Amino acid sequence: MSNLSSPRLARRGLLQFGIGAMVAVTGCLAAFSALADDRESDYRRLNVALVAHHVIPRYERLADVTDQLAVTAGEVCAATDQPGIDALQAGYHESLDAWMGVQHIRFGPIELFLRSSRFAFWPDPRNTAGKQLGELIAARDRSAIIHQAFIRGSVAVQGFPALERLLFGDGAVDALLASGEEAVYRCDLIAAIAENLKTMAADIVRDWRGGDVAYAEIVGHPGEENPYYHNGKEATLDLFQSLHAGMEIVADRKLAPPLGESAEDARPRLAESWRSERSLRNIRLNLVAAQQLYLGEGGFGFSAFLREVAGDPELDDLLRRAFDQTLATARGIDVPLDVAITDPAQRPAVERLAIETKALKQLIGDRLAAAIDIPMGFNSLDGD
Amino acid sequence: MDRRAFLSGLAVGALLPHAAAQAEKLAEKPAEESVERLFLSAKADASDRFFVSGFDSAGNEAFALPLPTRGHAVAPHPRKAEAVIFARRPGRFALAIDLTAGEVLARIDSASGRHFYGHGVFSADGALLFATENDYAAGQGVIGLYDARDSYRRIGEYRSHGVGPHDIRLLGDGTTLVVANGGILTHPDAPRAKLNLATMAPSLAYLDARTGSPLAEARLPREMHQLSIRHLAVGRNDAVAIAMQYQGPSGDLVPLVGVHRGAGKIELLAAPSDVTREMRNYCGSAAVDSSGAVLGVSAPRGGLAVFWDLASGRLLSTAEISDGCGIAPGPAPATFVVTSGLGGAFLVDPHTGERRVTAPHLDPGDHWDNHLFLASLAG
Repeated sequence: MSNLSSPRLARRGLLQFGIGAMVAVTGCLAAFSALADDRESDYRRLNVALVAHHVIPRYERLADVTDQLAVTAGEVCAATDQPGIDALQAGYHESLDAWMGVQHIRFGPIELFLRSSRFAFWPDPRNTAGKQLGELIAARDRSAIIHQAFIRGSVAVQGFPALERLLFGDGAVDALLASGEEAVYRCDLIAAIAENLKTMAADIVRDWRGGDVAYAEIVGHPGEENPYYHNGKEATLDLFQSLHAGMEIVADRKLAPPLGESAEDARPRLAESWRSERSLRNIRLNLVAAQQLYLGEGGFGFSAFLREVAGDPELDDLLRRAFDQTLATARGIDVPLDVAITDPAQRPAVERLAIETKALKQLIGDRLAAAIDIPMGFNSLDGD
Repeated sequence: MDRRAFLSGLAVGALLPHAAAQAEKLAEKPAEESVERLFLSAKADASDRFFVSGFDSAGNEAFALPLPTRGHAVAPHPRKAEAVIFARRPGRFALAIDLTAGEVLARIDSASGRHFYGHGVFSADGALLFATENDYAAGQGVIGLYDARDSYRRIGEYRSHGVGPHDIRLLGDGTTLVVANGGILTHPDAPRAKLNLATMAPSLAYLDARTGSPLAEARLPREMHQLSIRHLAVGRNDAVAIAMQYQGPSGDLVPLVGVHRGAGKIELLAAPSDVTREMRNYCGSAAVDSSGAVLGVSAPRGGLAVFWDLASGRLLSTAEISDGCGIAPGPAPATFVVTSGLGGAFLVDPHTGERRVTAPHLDPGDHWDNHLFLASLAG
């Protein structure tokens, strides 16, 4: 786990820095702050509205359902039976629904303490979660699942993919219903994961709303003294990148790898959450979340910014249509994704969905970025 | 010309950074020079088609060869007008190109169970090509060896002694390879997903180019394990400059550039916190000027190029270049050429940060990709 603390490193950076260089760099920074342009108040308004109406409520929802999941796990593990497992599975679905609604948000408290990886270590082409879960269960080391130890252990077993294996994996339910130490340990592992999810979600809400981090305040009050955002546009960039990431996750991570080039070439096991048969449900929820970030959940969002500030209602119409159409395509597929991609009758709809999500991603990265003056370059978008 | 003689011949000029000399330096070079050297870079055109391009200092393209997918870095041959372009990771091909004819000489397919990471370098005599690759079943980095005299047949591999090797360079002794093991585990089944952010451990590894034996290794302090060592540039006295990408929280303010001088620790180069902040935890590429004394690092997310004096580690200047990423030594000492993903190239004076448009004939609709190389056509 990273224990990098930014203030300490910042100080060290300043100490190492010679005085002479200060003079040489002022030009660049003066020019940069000139970017704090006449839309500054609009960027700020957008940021504050999206944090209040989109980001925080969605994390609050995640905190509520994971809290309930932890309560359920505590009760069920006291005496595991089929109705209890049904309740756990329902709690898993409800919690993962909420996670899919925030998975696109890539900045702020989710970045701290590796929370993103700990919530959902996926994709996992090396099956790290499965292997490490197997090792944990084989060893039945109780000290490893005590909360304080668990959250410092491997991230791969701390979140939804591990929980899914324990609730929906091959033979998982039977293993929970069996008598003996292993069944007890498996359920306690479920409870440890639920506790971890609950704690992280609650911490994220706390970090957004107040506490040491108070990230909503940071977003709401950009300026020279603000270590994260010198101006509102920089915070808008983070929100915009979350919108873009939302589409990228669906197009590049969730659809393209399992889809392959053809039905024969399809890789159903590369789909997300295939064990719990909810790959498409995840995608729909991701798309709805991105759409709502765009629309501003009925408040001031990118859509209103486009119309009112950027003066481009045509692009707004186009984006609204694109979201609607992509979602309609996603909703029109009524078999599980891993089945659909290998079924000649269903596959064309998934291929269409892949094309539409990619096009929407491109529309956001090219047209929307340009219209709202957010720099999204060929190289700056890249990670290489 | 021998690279060392070339460098020492130019070194004197670098000691005269007077204003007049600078202004003259930034003036366009006469046309005859442009035929001897070619800038090489991957690009995407306005229709998102991918190419490898060779252009002269006026921006006239000698060639633009289509690529099946997006390209990444180029390895110029040290002795003849030839170069290899690598596919962007997880890449499955590389192309050897005749720079004079502007033609593909050979297509190199990645070996079974391996993919390219996007960078490579030739041996000093040009007989071998070394390419950073992923042994993805094992999750270990390897250096693929290709026989440049036999259609780039793969003749073996070395371990990179780390995970996720990215850039690779040859030191001035001609026998030491230096590899940036970025530390990030990836797998082609989840293209470009980072699979080990919690445990990543980057390293700078030195290998004997003749045997693959590990010679030395440098690492950052443990609390900086999320600083991925990605790109390299080798300066005078084999100072190895490293340009890094931080994988931790975006609000962390961490140094992103370092120098390793063969032994001891990696020196992290200081910058004012505002500059570090504007680099946005992401360096795109690195280059050393033709004198070997000045380091330039691009930070495309911040739209910034940052320059340091390699010997003293002193920051010299910054230049604003939107989506600027490709960086190569300019025609004269103490100059750099920086290309932009938004199109165009800039000639930059690293002592002042002054920049102006260069290579004016470049198509403004082209998006220049991550890396820019300057290759000699004279051999």
